[in-house]
Amino acid sequence: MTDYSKMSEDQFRQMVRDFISENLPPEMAARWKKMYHPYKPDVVWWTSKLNEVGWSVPGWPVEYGGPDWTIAQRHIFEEEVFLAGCPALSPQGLTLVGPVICHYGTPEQKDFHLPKIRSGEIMWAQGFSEPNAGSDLAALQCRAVRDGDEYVVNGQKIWTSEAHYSEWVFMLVRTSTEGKKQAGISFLLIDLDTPGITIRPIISIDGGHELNEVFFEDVRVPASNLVGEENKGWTYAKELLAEERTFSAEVKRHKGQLRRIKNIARETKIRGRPLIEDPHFQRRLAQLEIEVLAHEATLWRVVAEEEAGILGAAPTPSILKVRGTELVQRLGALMIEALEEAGLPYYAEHDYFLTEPADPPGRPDAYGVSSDFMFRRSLTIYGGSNEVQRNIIAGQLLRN
Amino acid sequence: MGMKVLPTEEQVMFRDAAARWVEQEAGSGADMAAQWGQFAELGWLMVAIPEDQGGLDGNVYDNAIIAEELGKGLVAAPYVGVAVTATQLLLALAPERAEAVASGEEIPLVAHVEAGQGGDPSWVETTATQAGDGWSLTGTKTAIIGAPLATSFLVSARTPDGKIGLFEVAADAAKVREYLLFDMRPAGDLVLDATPATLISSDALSAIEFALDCEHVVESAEAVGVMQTAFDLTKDYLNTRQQYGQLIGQFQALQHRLADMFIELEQARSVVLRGLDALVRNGPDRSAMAAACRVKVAQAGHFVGAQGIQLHGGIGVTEEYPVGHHFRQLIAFEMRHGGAGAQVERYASMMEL
Repeated sequence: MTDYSKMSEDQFRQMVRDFISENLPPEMAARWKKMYHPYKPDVVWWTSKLNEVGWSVPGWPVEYGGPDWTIAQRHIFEEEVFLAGCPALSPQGLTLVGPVICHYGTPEQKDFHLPKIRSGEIMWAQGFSEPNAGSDLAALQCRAVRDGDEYVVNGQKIWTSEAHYSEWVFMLVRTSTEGKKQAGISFLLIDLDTPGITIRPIISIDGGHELNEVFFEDVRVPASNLVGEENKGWTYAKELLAEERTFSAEVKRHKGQLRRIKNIARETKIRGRPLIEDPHFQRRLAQLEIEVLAHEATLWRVVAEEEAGILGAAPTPSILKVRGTELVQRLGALMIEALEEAGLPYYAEHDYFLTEPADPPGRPDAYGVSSDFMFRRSLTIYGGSNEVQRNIIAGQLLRN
Repeated sequence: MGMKVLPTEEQVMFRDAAARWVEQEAGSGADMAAQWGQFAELGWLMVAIPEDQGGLDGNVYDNAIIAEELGKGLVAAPYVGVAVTATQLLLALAPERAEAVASGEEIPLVAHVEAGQGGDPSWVETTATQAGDGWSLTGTKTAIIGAPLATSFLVSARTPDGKIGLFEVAADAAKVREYLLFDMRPAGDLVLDATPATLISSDALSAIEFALDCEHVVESAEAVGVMQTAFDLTKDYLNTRQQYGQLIGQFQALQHRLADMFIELEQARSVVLRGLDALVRNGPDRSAMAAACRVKVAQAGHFVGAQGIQLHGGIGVTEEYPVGHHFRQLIAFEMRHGGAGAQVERYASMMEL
């Protein structure tokens, strides 16, 4: 196995770039750069491609196939694959439930699930949020009642990304109503083909389909699909989120957006002059680029501190999430504005992702811009809304 | 990601020493000249000077660590102006002079900024003409922080061949119009009217640009210190002040404001590290990063200072209470070198398009 620890950051980056240029088909990169929703065939193919060199699971322990990258190397990898237009790996299996199974799964769970997650053969959805448990996730009510060797699950999950083409879902379910609400939650793995499960699409304001509602009616799940101990699920879920504490910074997306804004502004001509040459536009772009520079430097600080084993008292994951997501939205707003009227047509994903209609309106560099802009309103809502993040930040500050 | 983040052991020592000095000495009533002697004794003026020129062989990181602590205590003595801007300029153009600055014997200040410069280091209207064996300068240099303390000024001026030269004018040989800035720091204008001057370099622009980039970043570090105290005061106030029968820190509107202040403070701290990294690498992005640093810290400082006052309520606008003093110095920082708006424009002119 390659010893990545001996590599400089530049060498590592070059290695990733070389791999991408050898393996990523240009037409796939072109469609992913439009920034529509994930497209399963591409995702599965790219996951298996990465798995061949052990790169599909950068965050996993070495004994389960992780490449033992540093946190800095993981960020470099993420940035390079994103900017090159590689298909976005589905995080639910690879970065969320995978590490949980590595740490808490039974030998049978590990043997069955981990290879299939690594290779992309099985895709996962995350069943956490419910209609009445969003920001207040621990209020979840989807019940799992033990009945012999099985759990019987009843309830509803919502905002379930990619459930419509996933094979499995990992769930937080209520197994007890006694004590604190966090203490009665368990972590359960469910095959989405099990009878009693209904998946309904939620179409988002971009016209796309990534989100779903999932209904469970007397769904019988083998008790062997429980992860770890009953009523300890909240702890596992928290650890799972803590593992990924620096990966919600979105710096790779900001860099891609800045690049795309500049490309668009070179093409947009206002009264005959490229928008990119307009001093007022340049200043607004400069302002955002400066914000990204500062934000990226915060990410570097946090990564360096993590690698040195310093976990400061500061609520850094929340800072990265709040600023990172808000910058994505501000950059998206400048991008759509830079398109002028060419940004207005509805470039529907089903018409523009794989193909292009005859005689399309607007311009090709506009495809996907408004869709992405619309869908990214969700960034400041999911994963703990930015208001909840601010509560967390202030709570830590005022306690110290 | 190769940016240096964690301080060395030596830098931690400097930081602790500077913090102690600010706590014990800064408010002791000693005048600026006495304070300057202490800076020299503590070695703070020589941190960035190479060993063979009598210095401690460090770099601008060490300056930044000290400047941040001085900022926390709103120390008015022109540490950055002398130990960074003037020292870097001399190291580039007259390195043999650095030792006398390090010892505190000489206190040169850079006189470069002119009204209407807009943050562009190459816009110099002061003129230099040859007079016999020497030179004489005409023009006005403005807003020189710490001017009353200076023993001499390092003055940029345009020479007859159109280049920007660097000259030295002794403080007692020139007219210095002394005044206070609105943050109460002593400052002054250097009013030159065929004033005799000594030539240091006849082609100094790139050295001036480097020294000013250092000033942008280290002054930003100082401003982060100013901001940190404003933030700490505000946080403590939210934890002590009661209204409507509860601590005001229990109101969510104020909690969220505090969270936003903290985010801005941390972004400012990060961008300073990035600016320092750019100075040490001295690559093609150096000036752009220095400008970005100044912009981000200035805007963050404005926000943190202003919200610090707002969250204090009435006491925040009183002379008696310190949070407003921090706001004043942050606004002064924002307004220097053409103001943050001009620096955004400067960044835009250097940005990769």
